[in-house]
This record gives sequence, structure tokens and C-alpha cells, in this order.
Amino acid sequence: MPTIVSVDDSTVPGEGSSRLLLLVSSDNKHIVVEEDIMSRSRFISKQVEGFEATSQRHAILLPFSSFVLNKVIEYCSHYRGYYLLEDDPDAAPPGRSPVREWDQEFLDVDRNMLLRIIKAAHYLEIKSLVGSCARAIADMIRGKTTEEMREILGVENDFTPEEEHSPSSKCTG
Amino acid sequence: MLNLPDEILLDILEDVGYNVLLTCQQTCRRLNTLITTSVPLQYTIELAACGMLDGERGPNTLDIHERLRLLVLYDEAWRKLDWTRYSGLTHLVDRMLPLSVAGTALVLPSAIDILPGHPAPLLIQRLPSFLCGVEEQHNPFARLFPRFTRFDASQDLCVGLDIPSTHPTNGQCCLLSILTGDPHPLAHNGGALELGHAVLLDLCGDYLLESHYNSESLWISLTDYYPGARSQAYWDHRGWFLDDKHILLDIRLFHGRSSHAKCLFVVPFRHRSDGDAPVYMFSLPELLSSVDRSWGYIIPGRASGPLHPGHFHADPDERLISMYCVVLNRDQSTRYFVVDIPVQTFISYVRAHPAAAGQHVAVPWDAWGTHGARVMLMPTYCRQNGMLVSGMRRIDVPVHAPYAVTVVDYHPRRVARAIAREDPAVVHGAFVDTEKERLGEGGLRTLLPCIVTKIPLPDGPARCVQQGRPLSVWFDQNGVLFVETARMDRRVENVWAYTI
Repeated sequence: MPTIVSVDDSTVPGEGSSRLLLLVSSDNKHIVVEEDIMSRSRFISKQVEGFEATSQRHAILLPFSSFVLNKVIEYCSHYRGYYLLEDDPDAAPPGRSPVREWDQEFLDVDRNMLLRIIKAAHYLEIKSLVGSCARAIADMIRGKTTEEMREILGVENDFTPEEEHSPSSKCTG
Repeated sequence: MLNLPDEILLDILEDVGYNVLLTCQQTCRRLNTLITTSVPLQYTIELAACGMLDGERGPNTLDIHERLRLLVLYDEAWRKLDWTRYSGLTHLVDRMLPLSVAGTALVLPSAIDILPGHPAPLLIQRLPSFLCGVEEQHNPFARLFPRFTRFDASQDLCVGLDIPSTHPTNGQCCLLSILTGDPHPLAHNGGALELGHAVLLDLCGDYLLESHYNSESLWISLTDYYPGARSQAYWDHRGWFLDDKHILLDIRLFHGRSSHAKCLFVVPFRHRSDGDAPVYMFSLPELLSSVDRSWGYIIPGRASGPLHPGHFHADPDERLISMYCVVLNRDQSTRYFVVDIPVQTFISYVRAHPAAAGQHVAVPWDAWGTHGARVMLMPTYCRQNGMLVSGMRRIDVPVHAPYAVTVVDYHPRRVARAIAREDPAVVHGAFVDTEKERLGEGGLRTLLPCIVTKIPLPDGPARCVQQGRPLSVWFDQNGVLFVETARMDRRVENVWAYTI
């Protein structure tokens, strides 16, 4: 859980059309963003509800870097005002729809970045972004050998040699 | 990666396909455990292992846990199949061939001859109680005279459609409960029933597949047969997804009882996520003009007559479409072919002959008949004692073959392993399943052919020698396998029930 840092109310201006939020990244960068943009994140929405219940607004401390955070904000800004079925908590779980074109370009980043974005999106509870990232990662591991897959996933082979040579019953029937 | 939470890993693995899952399982313990314990992922793997594709889902179909349970049951049953214990249902003698089997009911046309031109009334035979726990009884369907009838045991629903030959656009539809023969509740609340001009093709899950036509056009729709949500979609008598842009359709024109398939069609489609799937329409005059060429001879000199294409099935992994063909010789004997056509052949053809938007492409047989297709002549099929056969359904064995039939290990996974080891004893015989099969009541479909091997197993347990010609083999969800044998005149002689 992030620590909630109490800030002076005057640092959060904008009683107008859309209020502002102060997000603090793990590298201690302060980023001000409109509440409206971040409403796609269930995590942020819950925080905001908390603010409204207690009439106190805080900075929200997030456990990832400003680089990743900016990327997520870029995503949320792009889809500002759009309805995405995956993000609707009341909708039935949708089937897999094709990856949106913009998402494909947006996620054309290196592997580590992709893993960081999916973790951030998971933390912020942005289902649509998690889904798009998941499929980008799935595309990476498709058609790879076990060794290549370990490399991509950053996984160590922790099977004993015996286990490795007698694959599980599911593989062999 | 490993510090990703399980939920994210499951998201990633959700639609990678079974082969990636199997590789993933071998990378490390954590992924292995994750995949082994996840029901949706196990279901994906199990489906592939059993050679099945998932059926339609609807509010009333089985959930994934139940589907997985049935699949495992099915898989286990085939492994444990003991052909030495069986019993015969001899009272079926003199009935005609069963039309379908649904749950514990076997549907037969009655032997009573009604007026010429009228379809025979249906008889529903309960499979006997010692096998299924259901009292043997004749179902009161004797007054049903539908020309097209389909059963959906999961909904306790029988849909019959009668289209009088004198007024082909004036069909009547009835919905009855299989168990009682009374009108089904759906008949009262207005679900599904705008069948006035339609030919009923199939039921699956909550869906009803109809083919509508008039003098100008033919179109095919998939309807949710519960009230509300009336969605229209793809499909035809046979259809496959070639790639993410094209559907291959095998459209058949019916003249009386015989079908004439002379062409395959490739139809472009666009994925639409708004739930309002497109409807494909075919102009009949155009269709007729494009199919006047003959299927011809696939291999001159080997096939001595025009090919009568039989059943198709698609193998989603191998990307092959197999066609089972019968050739009639001059002496009225028949020969069997299996033609494997790589899906790529069709895709290449369509790329070279792009269709205008909304149009289909007719792929003439010579586009694939002599190039790119693998043809297997099947003359030795069942000619020797102890040659196997079979998978799920309808095996036509040459009539002069001795009646000893050994069903050898057909389990796809084991056979695939044997092939991978290049076991010389294994012949990849292929084919079989001709029509969609249901696994129990879950609406699962078999599309992958079961693999037939020709390994004689003198000491193996999977051996069955029976008198009679196997016509149909099917599998009940209670773990009972039925093999139906028939005499030469194609009347059912016996149905054997194998307890597993």
C-alpha cells in the first residue's frame, strides 16, 4: 500500500470543470493530472471516493517510476471520455476483442517496459490496459522454445533433471 | 516476470493456445503449478488433446468447470475402453438407421410406411435402464411428422420443421419436450420460432442454425432460440475460418435427397465486436452459374469416375481440410479417397483472386485438386483381418471386407506421440468424424478428426471382434459407448453397448 502523504489543500487547485490530482511516483516526481483522465483507474477512483467521504485530499503515492506513470497517463489521456467495455465494472466479462490499433503502437516498447506497464496497470486496476499488455506479451512468447521462453519471462529453470525428463502427465497423456 | 502476480500471468496465458501452455509448463515450477491449477487453461489444453473445439456459450449451457469435467470423463473413458464387455440392444432390429442420439434418447424413424412422400413419424427409443438409469419406453413422438428434426437434450427440446414439398416456403415448426412429448415451454413464449421460410440446420448450445431462402437468395443465420437477443451470424452446412479474414464455405444444393457440392466458397468477413454479427447472403442465380463445373477427377488414372465428395472436416492445428470422397466404379463398386487440402491453398487462391466487398469467391476444384492436395487412396481399408477403423461416427467399410474389426488405440494424444517417434507401425490414417458430435450435453463439437491407426495389437486390451458392419459409433455421457452394426440392406441389425 502506498503511504498517503498529507498535503496542503491549496496544492490541489481546480474546483472548476475537472479537479486535479497529485500523483507521486517512486522516484519522488510530483505529477499533477486531471481527475477526469485518471477515472479509468479503479484504484484512483476509490481513492477519490475516499477523499470525498473524508473531505480531505491527499497526494497519491504510487510504487512505480515517473517514466512508467507518464506512460499510463498518456494511455488514459488518449482514451479520455471513451467507453471501454473492459473497464466497466458492471459489464459482463467481455470475450477477447481485437487489440486496438492505437494500443499496438502505444505498446511497441521493450520487454522490461511492457512488464512494468502491465504491473502499473494492474496496480491501478485499469483492466483494458492490462488486457492489451497481456496480449502483447502473449505475442512475444508464442512459437518460442522452452529456453527462449525462460529468457523472455526471466525465469530460472528450477526443475530437477528427473522432473525435466519426465514431463508432467498433461504433456504426454 | 516472476514477480508478476498470478492474475496477470493468467491474463497473459489466457489465449496463447495449448502448445504455448505446454511449453510454458516446462519453464519453471511456478508456471507449471499455475497452469495445472487453472481451470480455463486446463480446459484449453484438454480440448486440444481431445481434438475438440469449444461450443457456443449461452446463459443455459454448461459452465467451464462442468465442460472440463466432461472432457476429462470423455478422455478417461476412451483410455479405459474395454471392448470385451458389451451387451446388445436387440430390440432395435428392423428399425431404420437412427437419426440422432441425444442424451439417453436414440431417435429413429419408425418402420411404418405412411403415405408416399411423407416423412415417417419419429420414434424415440430410450436407452435401457441398466445402462442409463432410465426406464425403457417409447416416447410419444409417433405423431410427429417433421422433415427436419433436431434434438437438444440439454434443453430437453426437440424442434421439428415440416416443409411440405408442394409448398416449400410454407413450413410448420413445432417444439416438444423430449422427455414428455408435450409442447416445450419455448413454444408458448415466442422464442425462436420465426421459421416460416427456413430450413433448420442444427441446434447447439442455446443457438438455432437456420438456412433461409427464397427464389433469389440463400442466407444462413444463427439465432439464439430464447426470446430476446436475436443475433445473426455466419455458417453454412460446413464452414471454417481460413484465417482472420476469410471463411471457407462448403455450400450444397439439394435436389431431393442427394446433395451436389461442386464448389467451395471463400467469404471475407470482418470481425465486429458490437455483437451484431454480419449475415452473409448468396445470390442463388450467381451461385448456380458458378458451380456448373464438375469436381472432375482428382487424380486421373487412379479415380475411375467422378468424385462424389463426402464429408469434410477441418483440422485447426494442422491447417488441413480433409475431404472424404467416394468414387463409383463402373462395376458399381466403390473406392474411397481422403484428400487433404492445406488451408494455405485456399488463402493463396483468394489472395490472387480478391473479391469485391461483400462478395464471395468460388474456388474451382482445379485450383487445389491437382496442386497442393494430398490424396490418399484407401483400397486396403479394412481389407485385412485386424485392421482397425473408426473414431466417432459412421464408418463405411467395403462390403466384401471380413467382419472382424479391431478398434485400435485411437486416442489422439497417444497416436500423435507415436507419429512423433516415427513409429513405423503407425500409419496416419486420418479422417473419420463426419458430423458434429456432442459430448454429453455441453454443446462441444468435434472438428479435429480422430486419428486412426493401423497397428494390430494382438495382445492389447483394445480389441473387439464382432459380427456385423459398424455403421455408427457414439458415446454417451454416462460412459457408455454404442456401436451400431447393420446388415447389408442398411437396416440396423444390432446396437452394441459397451460399458466402460
